[in-house]
Parts: sequence; structure tokens; C-alpha cells
Amino acid sequence: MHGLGLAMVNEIISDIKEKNAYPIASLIKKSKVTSKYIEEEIIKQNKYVLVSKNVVNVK
Amino acid sequence: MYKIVEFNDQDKYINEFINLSHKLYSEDEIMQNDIELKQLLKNEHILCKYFTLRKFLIYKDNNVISRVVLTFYEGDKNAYFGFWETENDTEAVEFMFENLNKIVIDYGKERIIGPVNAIFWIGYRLKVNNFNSLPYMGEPYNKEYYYDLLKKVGFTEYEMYYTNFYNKPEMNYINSKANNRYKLFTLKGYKLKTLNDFENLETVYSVIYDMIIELYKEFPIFKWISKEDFINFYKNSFKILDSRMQKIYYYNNEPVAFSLVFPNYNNLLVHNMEKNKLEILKRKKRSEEYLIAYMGVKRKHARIRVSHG
Repeated sequence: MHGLGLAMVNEIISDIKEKNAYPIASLIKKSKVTSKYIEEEIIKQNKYVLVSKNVVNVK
Repeated sequence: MYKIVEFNDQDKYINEFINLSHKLYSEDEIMQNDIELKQLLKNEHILCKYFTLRKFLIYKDNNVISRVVLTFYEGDKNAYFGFWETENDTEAVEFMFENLNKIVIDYGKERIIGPVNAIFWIGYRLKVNNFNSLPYMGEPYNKEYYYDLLKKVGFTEYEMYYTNFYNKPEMNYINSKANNRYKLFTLKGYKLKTLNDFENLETVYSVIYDMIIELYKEFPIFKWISKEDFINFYKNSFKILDSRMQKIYYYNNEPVAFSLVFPNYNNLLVHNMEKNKLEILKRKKRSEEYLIAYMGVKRKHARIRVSHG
């Protein structure tokens, strides 16, 4: 079994190499593509949350 | 000591709402688009038709100390808080959410989720770490103490997201797995187009819209908007992209995947654009960093079986 997502990453890396630049994978959930195959190259990881709270009917 | 004011379209309150961000953040940090925010607060934004927005300021001794909006959707049992900014004052935040709690109950909603800035498409999420560098383009950005304040008033994590920063790939760097996948998919008949291959950008917007709606509809807090509104909302964004870096993948003439990669403009596009014009043009040509901002693959094409031998 093979992944089109990973194939796309190949082209993205190629473009960014041409620019001599740093890649940022922005606002992802835990992703097999970006974390499993390129994890060793991560130099920083920012975290973001959505939060929630049930509303309480205080009588 | 604390007072809550709900407002409609009065200029005084709209200006106080907008100005609170300018008080809390430096020119380099501020990610607020004042023009877009004013349109939303005045109910003049093209996306306003999709939600009901209630707008609030919290005063402490007659000074604005916090602000927030509540967004409501028909048929959605959740209410959303957004454009939330505050000084570091736990009592003010408690006071705010006690009042919002009552309003949410009156609407018949069960839960508050946030931060969501009115709608999925405008922005959502709270940053929780690494505040020692400037925000990148489109990054949700806020004061470092916000997550603690929300936890103190009873909020818990609903979803978590990451942004990964990578080393600069050397010219001879090849990810062999990715490279092999690309060759295999090409052999299978998948074709790659960039924005430069299209005569008409309207076609591109339409293709990307169709795929985003299909692929992102399961995302938490996703809300549908029409193709016309999507194009009007995003078309200016395409002007600041390098066309060759935007890819759409086709199989048997059907678009099946896309990726959008943006130069990192930091906050140059959200205010003082005239002043920043030269730097924007420079980064459009070449930026130190590129954001892999959107990627999607239609489920049927995510994985294929390729026979060997």
C-alpha cells in the first residue's frame, strides 16, 4: 500500500529546496505523513488547542 | 468593579474592541486584521450570513479589560467564543464566562467551544507554547497566560493541533520513501498541475473549493460556505502566492489532491500593507520559510495498491 500524501511531500520538499528555505507544516493534527517520515528533521513544534466547557444551568 | 457591555454597531464600542489588541500586542506580534474585524462587528462581512454574533466588552473601573464574541449556529448544540483578548485578570475572565454561560443556556446550547473567531474560515485555536518567536502568517496568536486563565474557569482541552518547523533541506537531500511514492503514482497515471498550468484562476478556486469542502467537512467546528463566498473570501490570498508551488493532482482528468504552500509573511498582510509592500514583494519571490498550509487527498486516492513484477 502506498500514500499519495507522501508523494506530494516529495514535491513540496523539492520546491522548498530550490528556495533554500525552511519548511513549516502548519496547524496539523497528528499526521502519519509529516510525523512518521520527517520526524527526525523537526527542530521545533508549536502546540494549539481548542477548549470546551459544558454550560451549567444554575437555578 | 467589573461591568459587561453588550454592543451592536456603535463606533465607540467597536473601536474599544479593536483597540484592546493594539494595547496587548506589539506591532510585530499583532495578528489582528482591523478591517476584517470591523466588518464582522458591523455585520458587513460576506460570511456574516452564516452565523449570529453577539459582542461583549468587560470593563474594570471604566477601562476595557477583556473582550469576546459569542457565535451561534442553527442546528449546532455548541456555542463558540472567539476574538477573545484579555489582560491577565482571573476575576474578569470568571465574570465574563459567568455572564456568557447564561446567554448560551438561553439559546438552548449545551457547550461553549473556542476560541473560534466567528467561523472556521476566519480563524480558530489557541497557542499554548513557544511564545519567544514572532507569529508566522496565519498563526493563531495570543498572550501566553490565556490557556491558564481558561483552565482556571473550567475549560478543558477539546482538540490539539501542531505546527512543525523543520531543518532546511540540503540541495542533495532526498526523502527516499517520498521520492519512491512520487515515482509510483506518476507511473500509475497521476498527473501534477501547478497554478501556472491554468488559464483561468476561477477554475482553480472552484477545484480547490470542491476538494476542501469534501475533505474538511469532518473537521471539528467546520462550517459550510458557498463557492461564491469562498472565492470572494480567498481570491486576494492567491495574489501573494508563488504559482509554481501550488499543486493540484489529477487522475483520469479528475482532481484528486492538492497542496498550498505560502511564503511566511508573518503579519505583513494584516496591517500596514502599504508600508510593507516592498518586503511583501520580496518574500513573494523568495521567503526564508514556507508554510505547508493546506493539503488534502480524496479518500479513494490516498492509498493505491501498486503491483510489483
